[in-house]
Amino acid sequence: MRRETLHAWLMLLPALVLLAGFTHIPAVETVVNSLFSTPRGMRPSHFVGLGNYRNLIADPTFWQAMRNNLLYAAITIPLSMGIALAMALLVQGRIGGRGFLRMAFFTPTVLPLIAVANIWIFFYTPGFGLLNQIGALLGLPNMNFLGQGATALYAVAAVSVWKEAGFFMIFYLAALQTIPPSLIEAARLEGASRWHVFRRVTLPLIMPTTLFISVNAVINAFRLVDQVFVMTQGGPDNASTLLFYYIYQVGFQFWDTAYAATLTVVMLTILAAIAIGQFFVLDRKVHYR
Amino acid sequence: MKRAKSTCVAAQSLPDAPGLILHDLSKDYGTQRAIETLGCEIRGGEFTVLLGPSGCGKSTLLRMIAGFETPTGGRITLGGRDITALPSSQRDIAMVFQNYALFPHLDVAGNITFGLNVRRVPRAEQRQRLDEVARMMGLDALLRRKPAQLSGGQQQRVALARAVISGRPVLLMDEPLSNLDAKLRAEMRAEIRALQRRLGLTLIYVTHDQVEAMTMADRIILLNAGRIEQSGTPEQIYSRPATPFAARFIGSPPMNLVPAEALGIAAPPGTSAGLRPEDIEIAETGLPARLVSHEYLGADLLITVAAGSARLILRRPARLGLPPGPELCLRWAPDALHRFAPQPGPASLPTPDPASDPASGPACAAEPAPQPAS
Ligand SMILES: Nc1ncnc2c1ncn2[C@@H]1O[C@H](COP(=O)(O)OP(=O)(O)OP(=O)(O)O)[C@@H](O)[C@H]1O
Ligand SMILES: [Mg+2]
Repeated sequence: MRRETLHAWLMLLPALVLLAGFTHIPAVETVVNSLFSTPRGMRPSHFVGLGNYRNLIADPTFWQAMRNNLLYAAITIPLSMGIALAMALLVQGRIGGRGFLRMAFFTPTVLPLIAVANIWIFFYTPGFGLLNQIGALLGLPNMNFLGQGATALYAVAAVSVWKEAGFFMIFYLAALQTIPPSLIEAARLEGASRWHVFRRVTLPLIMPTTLFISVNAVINAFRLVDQVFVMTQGGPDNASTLLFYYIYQVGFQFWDTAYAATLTVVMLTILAAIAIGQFFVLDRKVHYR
Repeated sequence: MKRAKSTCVAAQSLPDAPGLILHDLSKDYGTQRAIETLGCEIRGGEFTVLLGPSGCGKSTLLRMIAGFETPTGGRITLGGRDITALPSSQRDIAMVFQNYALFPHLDVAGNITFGLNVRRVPRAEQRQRLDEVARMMGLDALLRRKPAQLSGGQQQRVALARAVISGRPVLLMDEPLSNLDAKLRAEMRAEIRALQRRLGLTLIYVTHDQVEAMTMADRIILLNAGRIEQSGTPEQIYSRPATPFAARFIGSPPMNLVPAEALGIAAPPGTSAGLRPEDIEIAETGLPARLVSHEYLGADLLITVAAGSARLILRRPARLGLPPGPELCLRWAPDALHRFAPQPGPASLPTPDPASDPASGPACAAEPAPQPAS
């Protein structure tokens, strides 16, 4: 009996160590750190209670990052999901070059994000970048997409949409293929138009996938950092700073670790709230088979 | 030969249930021909069964009528109107699918009224028609359930209700009973048949089960390898099979089919002779044969005998028992004998279902016939 218990714990140990060491302990530590001040030179860390949180509420850069992130999410989530669904519908039918199209749509997902970001920097480059060359042909003025506060965030968002849509398409494609063709035929026989079949049959049946993708899309929208890092460094003037990038800056450029921990706690709370809300709200509308 | 049953149907049926005519219809899948050029008439208000072995093209034919497949050649007319190029929604045809094709996210009521919704039938009328059909199908208590919460038989009824509520005069069914157990299948057979007669529907029913075909059909169209082997009433096909295939496919156990010489019948070489098991009698004189094995079926007894090189199965009431000795004589009425001229090319006989063929069953090994105590 005792031997068996010992064995059981030994079996659990590797997973336990990894989970605890890299997930649970750091999470608790983060919350604890957010209640202390950052140790600096002579002054060791001391308890400040909610002091860091008060600073956060008064921090204009935090609010700017928050606004940017909400705007960024509002653009990328619906766009990438919509395009993903459209592409999946396109390549599931009987069209010529289906295999090639599927691959083409999926390629952005396979490429490393850093490489993708660098390629897009070339597209956006003022003067000889691809977009400006096309613009010049159409008689549009030269634009510095990444260097202007008005366009930087949108330029970053466009790359995300381009990259995520192909990834989400795979999930939609898999979901569409589980719908028996006879359901569609039955609906068509009743006189349902293509649009009607999509609205009343296809869309409800892929709702579980939509929920899954939307949770992922939200998480992705809040944890983006590499692209901002490569393309704009959050600039100009914090115009493209997102929450996660701001945390990175605070933590590893300004070395204000306690404040970074505070930001992290806030972000995780927001993410958890959104994910739980999605499950509760959408769950009632989702039909699981 | 017109059955009393079908005349009575004609009297009841809606005068407007249209019939279908297939003109030289054919279908290729790539280089493979699924339906050879064929033509036939499906009469309005009748119960027509498309019968044939697996892969003979029944579903393909039905799907062409429904408009889900485009014929490679030929035309389909429905009540005189050419529907070959019409989309399926405009053909005025309802269909029950083999897997029922119920919408899993809609409840029973939503499934049944789906088509009415699509066609913007006013709410009040939808409700009234739903009530009517639900009562007719015994679904009143289930209207708020999802398909996953129904038994197979109930799902089948919902699928049927969805087809019936459309009010369309032509109904197609593709093996609708194949997912049900034997008892339920027998019930549904009677129910579907009664429904078809009451509503006077033109019903085209696909099955590979000859019992279903025999019990339900006004008319059977027997298909084999994309061709029509024979069409006619169940009695016509049973009593006057046109080809060896038809002879073997209908009836259980199938018709005995042996070279004519084996029965001592004078005929051109290559002619085969067919005898139904129940048409062969054991008599004092006639064709000499030897008892091989027997199988007890309750009411009947199947007896396998060897006559020369030929094996024959005969069926007789079990109360008559086995013949007294292993040697016996066979007799049959002259009009019970079917002759089939030699077939050009390889004859394609369906292999009988081993379960219903006592000759191949291991259960009935040859054993000496019990001698009457004397
Ligand atoms: N989409 C398709 N592509 C290629 N060949 C097909 C297709 N559908 C059917 N076939 C072929 O056409 C022939 C007839 O098929 P069909 O489905 O009509 O048979 P069936 O009589 O309904 O058989 P079952 O009783 O098994 O359902 C078969 O040889 C089948 O392989
Ligand atoms: Mg079939």
